[in-house]
Amino acid sequence: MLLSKLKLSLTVALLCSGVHSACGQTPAKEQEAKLIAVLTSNAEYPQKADACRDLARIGTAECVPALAALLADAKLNHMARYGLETVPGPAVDEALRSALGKLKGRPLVGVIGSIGVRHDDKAVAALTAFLGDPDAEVAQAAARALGKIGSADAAKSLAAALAGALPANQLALCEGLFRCAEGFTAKGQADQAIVIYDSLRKLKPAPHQVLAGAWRGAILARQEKGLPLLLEAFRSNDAWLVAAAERIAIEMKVAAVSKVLADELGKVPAERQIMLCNVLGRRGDVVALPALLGLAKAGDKAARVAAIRAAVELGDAAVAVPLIELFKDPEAEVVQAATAGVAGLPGAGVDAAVVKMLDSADPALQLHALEMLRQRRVGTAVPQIQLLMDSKNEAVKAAAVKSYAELGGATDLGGMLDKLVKASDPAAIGALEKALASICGAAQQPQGCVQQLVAALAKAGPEAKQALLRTLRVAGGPEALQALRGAVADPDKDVHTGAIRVLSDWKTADAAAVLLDLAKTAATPVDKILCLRGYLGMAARKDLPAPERLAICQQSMPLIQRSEEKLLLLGAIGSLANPQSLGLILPYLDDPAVKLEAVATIMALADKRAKNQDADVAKAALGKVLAVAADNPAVVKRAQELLAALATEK
Amino acid sequence: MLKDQQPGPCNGHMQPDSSNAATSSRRQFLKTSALSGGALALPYFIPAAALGRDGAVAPGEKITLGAIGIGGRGSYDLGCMLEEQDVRCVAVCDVRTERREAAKRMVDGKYGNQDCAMYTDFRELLARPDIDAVLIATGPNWHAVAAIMAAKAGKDVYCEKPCTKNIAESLTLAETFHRSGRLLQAGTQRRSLPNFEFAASLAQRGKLGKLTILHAHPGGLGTGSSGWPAAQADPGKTVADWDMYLGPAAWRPFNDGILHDGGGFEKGGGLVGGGCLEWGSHCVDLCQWANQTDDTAAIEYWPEGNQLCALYANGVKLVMRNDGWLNSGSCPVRYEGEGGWVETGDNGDLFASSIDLINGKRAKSSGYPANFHIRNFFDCVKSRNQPRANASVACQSHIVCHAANIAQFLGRRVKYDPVKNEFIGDEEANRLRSEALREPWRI
Repeated sequence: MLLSKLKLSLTVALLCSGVHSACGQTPAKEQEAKLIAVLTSNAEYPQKADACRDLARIGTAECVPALAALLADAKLNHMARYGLETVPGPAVDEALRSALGKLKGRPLVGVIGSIGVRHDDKAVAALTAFLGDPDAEVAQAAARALGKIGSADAAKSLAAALAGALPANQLALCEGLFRCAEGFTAKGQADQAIVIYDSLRKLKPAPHQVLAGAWRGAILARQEKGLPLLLEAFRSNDAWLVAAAERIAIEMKVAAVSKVLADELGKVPAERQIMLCNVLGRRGDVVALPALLGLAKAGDKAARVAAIRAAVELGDAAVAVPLIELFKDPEAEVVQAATAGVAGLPGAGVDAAVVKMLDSADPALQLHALEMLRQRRVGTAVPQIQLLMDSKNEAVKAAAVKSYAELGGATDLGGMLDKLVKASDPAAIGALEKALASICGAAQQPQGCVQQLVAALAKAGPEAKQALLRTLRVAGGPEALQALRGAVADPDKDVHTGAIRVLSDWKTADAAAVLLDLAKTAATPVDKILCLRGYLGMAARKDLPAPERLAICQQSMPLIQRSEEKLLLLGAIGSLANPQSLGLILPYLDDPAVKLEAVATIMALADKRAKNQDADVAKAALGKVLAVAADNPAVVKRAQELLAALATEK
Repeated sequence: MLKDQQPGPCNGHMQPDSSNAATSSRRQFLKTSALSGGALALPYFIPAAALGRDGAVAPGEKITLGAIGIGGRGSYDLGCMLEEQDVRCVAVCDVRTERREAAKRMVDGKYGNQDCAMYTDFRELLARPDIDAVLIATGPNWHAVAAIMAAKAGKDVYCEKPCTKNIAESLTLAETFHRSGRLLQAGTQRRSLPNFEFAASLAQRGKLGKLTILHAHPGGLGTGSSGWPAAQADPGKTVADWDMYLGPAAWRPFNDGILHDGGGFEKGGGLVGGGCLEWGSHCVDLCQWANQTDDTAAIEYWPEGNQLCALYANGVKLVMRNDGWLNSGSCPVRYEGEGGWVETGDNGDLFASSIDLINGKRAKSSGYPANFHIRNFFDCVKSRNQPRANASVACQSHIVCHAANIAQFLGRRVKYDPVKNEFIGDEEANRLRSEALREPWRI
């Protein structure tokens, strides 16, 4: 018995081999024969199911008898249909039709469904008989299958059945009728489709989704003649129908729709105007533009905004000027919509219209224009924007600087630097500095910026010079660092202090040597402290190699005098997590001001220390901790534990 | 297998747009409109209770929601939906008792009551007239069938991806939603994330010049059926309704592994399997968007080395590849034109051929949250505007994935007519466009 099972599985395996691969070398006929043999053998369910799958891809009329024989098999019915549904030729249809009279329940439902998939119009009479089947699944499957077949006879059967249908079957019958109607429309038989759609429109009671579909079909099938129906739907008080009308109007290809709906704009309340605007915008038909722009000028605020947005959606550059005229509207929402609209309109013509706004004497318009040019990224407007950087209106001036910062490239800082050098007002300097920082920070080659900034330093007064030094920090790099180092010697006290401050906050580690030098040699204690703190900040940088950070700690120790810097050092040492640095902390255990932090740092480092690593240094440090932290039992206990562990190390 | 995992709690972060976003496009406008809320964007909302018969309009009423298939991804989606103030979840459905009860606890916990109804058979949930919209987050095997049945029942649908298993399902999905006037939002949430939108807008607005090549990360290229699992003892319907779990898929014996982690089960269905559908339903969809081919599909498909390629009628080539990406995170896309390129992915960063293309500050999302996409769906449920990943969009992007998978499965070039929706002179490929569903399920 076992042997025969093994033999069978081997046979099946051989029969199936090579079949699953689409690129298999076995000729299709040979493959098909093997698969048929599996189906007619005593193979297990999985093998037979797999064979059905493969026959779906390569099967011919040859395999139909073997597959059809499985239709009555409750377990394999589905896979038999799986194989049959895609096999070309009338043999499958005949087999499926033949099975109708022999099956019940779900296998019958499945076969009916497959007949529908294959659009077998010879099955209409047989399927019609199932429309009244007491098994709802059978009746509904028949309704859907008749719909897929979609012939005049099928439609007639479905319509007749719908008249007295059980509520449970109504949706399936409607679906069948929809499919018939869609088929008629596709075949150019719109009259037959319209009959169906109109009958479904009158169906009562009917779910909203059926009514929506019926109205849609009735309008689309009528094409231009459907416009009165479309308007009727739009004017309806049935919210579902209005929603359907909105969608249908967007979908409808007939050109006259836009004109008809545009004419409707002036006749309906604001809520409907908004819907119509939505539709007209989506349709993108410029014929609606005059009506939309008319509404944009006057009427309900929300409707005006909707009209502006719809006009913008049409994407026509001609919209720009009328929308620009709305920039002075008293309604803020209208202005906002118009501004956003112009900003989003495509085309060089729109750019030109916005640039022209810069010539206006009205600062409000100039501000709008500057904002839009920035949003539209109109680089060609930079010369005109530069002119407004000298505006007497402070808001315009600031906006011009902001726009220039985004549109002017790093290679063209000259104009802005000239203004900075000449500026004396702190607010103007601040705005220019912000703009320059924005450009330099985003520059792909900041060195180009640095050269221009350094050149400007020579011409700048103290205020501007400090702004330039701060901007040099944003640009970064060795040349900028060198310029800062030079500025430390500036005779102006504020410039000197500014340079020190910028250096102490330098963003890259290449400033370490400069900071150490200044920490030692700077003229005043304050300068020394600032540079020392900047230098210590480098020791905490995770992007620097640990040995370099340790070296910074070591170099800074002789220079540290105040508790504040001692704490900074302890923080840096702690972040190093290197037991070697324990020795650096020992002197601070005797300093009452930082003793607690020193103990904590030592304990943290000793905890992280790996076995046999720097044991002597750790032993010395922990021993001293025991001496100075005797009043802290927890520390003492942990230190003793660590020392005990150390004692076991070799 | 790559999985579209949820990015933790539903708290999609989007840093505020600090004003200098580039030129707003038509889509940007629509987004702004949809996100702005208020009377301008939401002219009306028809609650289920009105049933369209009396014209009742009740803007203050909440959208009533039913959730179907509440596993890992479903819980994430449902969590996002529960955060929406104008949504009320009233029912959950799962074939697994444990998940069903957990989902109920989640909903009841949010509302502080015990009102959430539970169903094992989603048809009972769909039959409730008080439900406006449903979340479908079952295994992919069920997505199309359940979404189509929901539309026929008059529900708007948020359906997780991939939404369909084959070309026939894709077409029927779109057809059904068009016919019924219902709304579908495919769970391709990257359509609602700012970096992907910005990258697409660069392509759409011609900032990259004439488009030449689109690149999409498919997440996988292997094809094949889900096979036959080892048979295990069926624990019975008190634990899980296995027959309902299988649904339209070919019968298999009970298998706990599939029940608990069936994300890949019958993803693409039949012989062809999921292949590039895993992330293609996201990334190919994003390429369709950038290419402005949301209403059509590519016309040729072929495997090329370890890539899968397609060609559009407008001459643009689509390349699906798993490697060679910049450091842009998962699900990346890249758009190349004669004038430049842009690449982005789930980390929200943008890379481009020129800094000028991506200069300026703009909103940036963290991870790939679905809450913006979900908000767009609910806004559309109210306004009846089409969601970003609507039925037409989902239909065409899924067709591209299915057709590409068929080319990969056949190991050769196939040509596709996107009007007739058939492979040209290629019966073998055409036979892979559909598959028979297990009775009584149908599309």
